[in-house]
Amino acid sequence: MIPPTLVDAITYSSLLGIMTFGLTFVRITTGVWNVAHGAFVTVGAYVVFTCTNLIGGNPYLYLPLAFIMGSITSVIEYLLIIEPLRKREASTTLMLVSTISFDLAMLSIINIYADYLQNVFNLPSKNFIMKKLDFTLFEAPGIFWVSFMFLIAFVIVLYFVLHYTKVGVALRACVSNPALANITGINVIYINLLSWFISGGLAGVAGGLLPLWIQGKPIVGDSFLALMFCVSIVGGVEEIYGTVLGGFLVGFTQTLVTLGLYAIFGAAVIPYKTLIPMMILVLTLLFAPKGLAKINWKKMLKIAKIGGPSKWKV
Amino acid sequence: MESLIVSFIIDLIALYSVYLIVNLSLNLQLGYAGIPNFGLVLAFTGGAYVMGWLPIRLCAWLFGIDPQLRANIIKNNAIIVSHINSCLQAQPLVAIGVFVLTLILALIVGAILGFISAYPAIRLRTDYLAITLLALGEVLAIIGRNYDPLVGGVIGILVPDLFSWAGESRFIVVSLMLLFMTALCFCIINIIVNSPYGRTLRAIRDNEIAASSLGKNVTRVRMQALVVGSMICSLAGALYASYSCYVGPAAYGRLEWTFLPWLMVIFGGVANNIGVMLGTFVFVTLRKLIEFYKYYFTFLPFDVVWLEYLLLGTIIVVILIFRPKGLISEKPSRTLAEKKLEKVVAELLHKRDSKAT
Amino acid sequence: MKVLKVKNLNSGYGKLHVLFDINVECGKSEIVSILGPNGSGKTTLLNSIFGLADIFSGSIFFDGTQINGLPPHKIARTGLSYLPQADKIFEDLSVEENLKMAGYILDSRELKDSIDEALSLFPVLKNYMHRKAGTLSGGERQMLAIAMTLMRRPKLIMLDEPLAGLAPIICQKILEKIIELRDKLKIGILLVEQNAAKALEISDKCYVIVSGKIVFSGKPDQLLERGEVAELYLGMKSEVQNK
Repeated sequence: MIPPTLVDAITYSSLLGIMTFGLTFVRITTGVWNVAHGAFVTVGAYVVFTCTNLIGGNPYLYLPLAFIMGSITSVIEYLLIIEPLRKREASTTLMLVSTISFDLAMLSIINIYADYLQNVFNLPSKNFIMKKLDFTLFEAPGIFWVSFMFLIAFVIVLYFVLHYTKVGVALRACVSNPALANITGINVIYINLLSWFISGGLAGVAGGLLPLWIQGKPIVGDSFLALMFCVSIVGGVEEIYGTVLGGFLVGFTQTLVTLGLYAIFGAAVIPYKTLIPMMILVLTLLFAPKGLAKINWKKMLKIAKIGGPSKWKV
Repeated sequence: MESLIVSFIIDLIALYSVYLIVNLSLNLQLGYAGIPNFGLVLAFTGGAYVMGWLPIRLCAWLFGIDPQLRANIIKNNAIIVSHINSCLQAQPLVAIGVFVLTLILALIVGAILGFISAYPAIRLRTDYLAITLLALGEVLAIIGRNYDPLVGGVIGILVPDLFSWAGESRFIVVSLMLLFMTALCFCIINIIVNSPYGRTLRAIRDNEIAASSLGKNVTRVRMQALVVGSMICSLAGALYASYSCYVGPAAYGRLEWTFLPWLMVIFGGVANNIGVMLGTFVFVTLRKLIEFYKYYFTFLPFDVVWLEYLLLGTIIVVILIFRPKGLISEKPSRTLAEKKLEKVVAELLHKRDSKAT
Repeated sequence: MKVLKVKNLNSGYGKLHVLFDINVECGKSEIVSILGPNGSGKTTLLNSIFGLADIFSGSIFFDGTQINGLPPHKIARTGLSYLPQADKIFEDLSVEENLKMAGYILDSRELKDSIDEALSLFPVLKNYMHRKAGTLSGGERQMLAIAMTLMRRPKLIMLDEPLAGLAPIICQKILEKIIELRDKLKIGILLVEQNAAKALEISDKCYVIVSGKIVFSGKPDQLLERGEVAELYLGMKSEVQNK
């Protein structure tokens, strides 16, 4: 019914969007690039893997648990590392390094856990895929429907929360002016915690969905890190929905360009498809450093008519 | 038992030297120029790949290895390399020549990689620069893994032993050579850092706007620092490959060659080369010791190296929270000697007074 | 009974000691101005009161309770409001959302009443309720910012240079509003201002801080008699000398 390329592209883009949203979100609210974001994804993947194998049943059942475990991990990182460093007014680079350390610690814990699963329960925890447990609907795999619907539902719910609930508006206030938010009585730490909670949870859900599509490994989340940074920057870090745009741009471009190159150069091209997002990143940095969401489309049309890019100031 | 300890120490010296070069490079970029380079692995891999690409082809040509074998260097690399090694044993001058040539090429490649990866991002704010370099750092690994003719794809390729002429003491000679190269890098970097150029770097690091108002071209200087840093890193990669006589994409991960160097530099003390030496030593020794005593840990249901990483991660977090300047903090800039300064000031005052009257 | 009492305050930021043994008081229905040259520590005083600076010693009492040591968002709930020098509104939020956020700790009925009151004091904001606050003019922003400080029915508001960067006509309007707040709502007002002349026009009492220390406290006309203080630190020609 739906062309398989489109299914692939949409699934990939949706997963990228769900996965990366949290990364951009905590960047916007707390100003930190969380290198450990990949760890939340991996946690989600292993939650679903463990439960499906040890308890049984459909993997989709455990997505809420993946959300919770992802958000718990995220909150732990915030309370243990991020908030203490913010109190000491650490520089952005130091914060980045601290998230790397947390990532390292999480990687260790995940590997230890995977080793444990393998040795004690004989599960293929270092390399697994659960594609065959997926259902099919209208000739498209379940993950396509779930990831796309989830993304859309999430964006709608988020918009509603951000504009029509007190907490949501407070969150936007904290993003706009954290010092003032403090003065007006908003507990900025709670709000930050909320954003980290959501961020980790989303990553967990994306991680829970991943094994239904690709191989699951202890570094599965980390392996997406470079890609997530691409999506985040391409989408634009100043608008909350930029990541969704970025996810779709990167996802579609990568899928379509790979297809095109395959038609011309054959299968040898396929392993290089991960270079495509990097090239998009470089192009974005050179011509639209604030990302897609901030492009002044009217200006772009003008330039296209006159010819030649103007200098974008960062 | 003795030989075990001796080989342990030789190995330790080698690994320490390589890591120290990488860390000094990072310290130059991060500590002195304020550039957070999270893409060190790119230059390192580049240098290693040069060592995996050039010597085998050059030596095969020089020693007239069978052209049929040479037609597919990757597939036949084991045979070719063993032929080359026996030739090299008798011709130390050729070996050293090839070695030096490869190092020079590695430096050039490092410079190019540094330039390309930095160019799009150099004007960006620090943290954007950091993560862009991180993302672009993966590029070479992807190419190396998939483009077999480069370094044999996933499997990798053997590197001719350019020190086989040292015979039995090969490993000692290589370790000493590494130590020598490290000392060389250390001296060169210290000269740069203590020179007026080094002060420019620090000025830009501390206050870009002030520095540029004094006429310093901030972007150009940052690029220079990045390119020089990449060159040094690339050198380290080439040296490492020449030591292990093997090159393969799987061997150069972001974890080992970007994140760990960062942790070592922060632990030792940013912008202080002595601190970096200390920090590197602690980490590398710890790592080698755990490797050495790995068998004592087999009772654990998991690989003990993860425990090591867990420990590392935790230690660094503790350091960042309680002593973010690392073990040893930065020393103030070296300026002219006090007597000279007094002379200069006296002259200036004299000039001013004579103008007033 | 003075609503705000600052006793022997020593404060600053980290290792930087800015204020030395400061004693300041302000009561309800009173306009107290803090004057002094740039960098003397006026903003630090307000920051210290609101928990945004490091207090080394001394105590601060508001409405009988000791507030030094409390985090800012808790102090906001005691009936004290702060209008900072810069970044005083949420630029990306609408005017209505700004007011709602200012009244974050109120329940929905209190919030509605507060907004109605704020709009009656600053009717010009009624037209902009759904506009992004960042699009307002300087004077309108200031009105919004002051309205925001009033949302929680404060007993005392602290204003940091409310007249900065505003056209003279607008300054006059703001000054009138401040007087209105004192007289109609019986609020105490602690006013930090560079424009000493304008501030003294409306103040009941004033303090002059120089290099972190108080060099004068008393009524405005007493200050003008002490010509040297006025001239040296506030750049005001002494009326006494002119005569």
